[in-house]
Amino acid sequence: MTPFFFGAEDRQLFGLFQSGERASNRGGTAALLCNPFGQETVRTHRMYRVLADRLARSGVDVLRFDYHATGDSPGEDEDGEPEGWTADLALAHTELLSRSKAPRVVWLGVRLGATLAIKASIIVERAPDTLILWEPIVEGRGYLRELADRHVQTLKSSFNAPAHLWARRLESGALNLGREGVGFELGDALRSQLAALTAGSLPRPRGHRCDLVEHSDRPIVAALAQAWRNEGLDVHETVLEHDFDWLAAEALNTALVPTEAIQLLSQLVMGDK
Amino acid sequence: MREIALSMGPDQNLIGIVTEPDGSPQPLGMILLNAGVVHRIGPHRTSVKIARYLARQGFATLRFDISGVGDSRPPHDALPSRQQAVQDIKISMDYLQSKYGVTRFGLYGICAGAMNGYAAALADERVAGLFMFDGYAFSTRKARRIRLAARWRARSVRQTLEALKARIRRFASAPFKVRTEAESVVPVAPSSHPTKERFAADLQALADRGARVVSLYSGSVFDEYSYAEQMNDAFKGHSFLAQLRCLYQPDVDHLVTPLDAQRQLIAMIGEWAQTALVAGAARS
Repeated sequence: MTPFFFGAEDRQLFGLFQSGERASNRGGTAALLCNPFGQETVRTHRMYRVLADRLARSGVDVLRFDYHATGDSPGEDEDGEPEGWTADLALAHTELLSRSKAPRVVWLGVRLGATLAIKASIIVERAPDTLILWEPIVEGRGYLRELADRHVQTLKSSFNAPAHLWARRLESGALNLGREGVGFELGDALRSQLAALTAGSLPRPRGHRCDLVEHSDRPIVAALAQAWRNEGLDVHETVLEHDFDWLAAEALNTALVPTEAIQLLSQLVMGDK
Repeated sequence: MREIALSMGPDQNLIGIVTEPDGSPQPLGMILLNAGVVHRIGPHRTSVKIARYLARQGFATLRFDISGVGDSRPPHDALPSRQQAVQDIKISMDYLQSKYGVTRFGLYGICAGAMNGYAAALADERVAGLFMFDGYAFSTRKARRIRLAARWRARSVRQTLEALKARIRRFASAPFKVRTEAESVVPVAPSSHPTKERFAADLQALADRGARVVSLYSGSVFDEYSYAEQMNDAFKGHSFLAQLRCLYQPDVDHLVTPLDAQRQLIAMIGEWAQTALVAGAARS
């Protein structure tokens, strides 16, 4: 596992590269794992780590990375915004291509990471062969509402001191909740870009194949899949039984690494399904 | 300020980031430890923010994943978890010492990170400062009264009547059960929790060598730490209290969720870092 920074001097990104271990599989597949947003990144870190290890043991070269102003990458929370992150994803793709000789490239994105992957696929010179999109965010306003609701819910469950100060401040409106999403600052650009995000605004991804992974039927995603099929993309829809709680606080004992998710995602990345 | 990604340890299995200050670093290195299973960025990325704040104050600051957490794999000859964590922290101090020439260190940790920091501080005299956030707590009679009162206040009339009936039933079945003094000092997390006597001896040892220790309790651990003076009351008469800074912040939660809470935490850590620095300078 190699930790490093890459990219332009004024917009460095943190990356972790794992070279595929099995010599026989070298020259097979390279995978780029794309983070979701905020607390969801904290939640999915362990799952991505386990998945990356498993893929590397199977010979897949794997790059994980943090977008600007997220994780270990430089930048403050309020500076992060999806348009910049789309460019970051494209840059990470270029970095992966420079480190791996694999002819087949797969992108895996969850939630907002899946949305960014859709957008980045149309700006990279060499499109990924396969996109795996796990519950992409396709309605930004709904996502902002979800973040606001879960922020308050997290505060309510996190404190247990009676008559605690935050509750009084919540009631008085002193907390600027619109700018906070479960512990992460939502900058102006992030909020306005998410507010403008709709299923209709998403392009048809470039690539040979697209796997959409959903826990439950979302008509809006099914419609998107059909629209992409009509435009000639090979789209596969897969149901994942496990209901991943993307925004749960760390202290709650929800599953961090659901086995069925790891198995399914490994198969999809390897092209075995 | 510059950040460097690194791997360290005999197996190069420990993954971390050093935040370097501009200019010559202060003679005290800062190390930020994992909060439970959260990787080195910390809950809500707080460790990244703390590292950058400390680096702006001149401290070379390392955040890293201990073995088996985040991106760090266990070494080939892994020790039991707490011993391994102490070993990893020693490796991180060795790293900062070799790169920046610092010989004294401040450790910061939340929850399990606080407990790992506590163990490392006792095991290695290079630790000059320890900031424990929701670490070990010891109950008192007053704390139990406060918690009981809070529970009663939170109940509805119906719940109050039900609870009274249950108390009467319990008293009727065992009228002479008396709470022992031993029960009154039962630690809140018995598995790896030091006894009250052990904790007092440990804190005294840290105080005797001039280590600056802060113990911060959040509004999420009311059942363990219920009022500002609880530590003083639990250890009344112990001289280590003069050097222990105990903070009770009911408006900060265990995961430091509100941005305002994050800013408060960072300011408290900055202040502690300066006291540890001054203490180190006075000794050397």
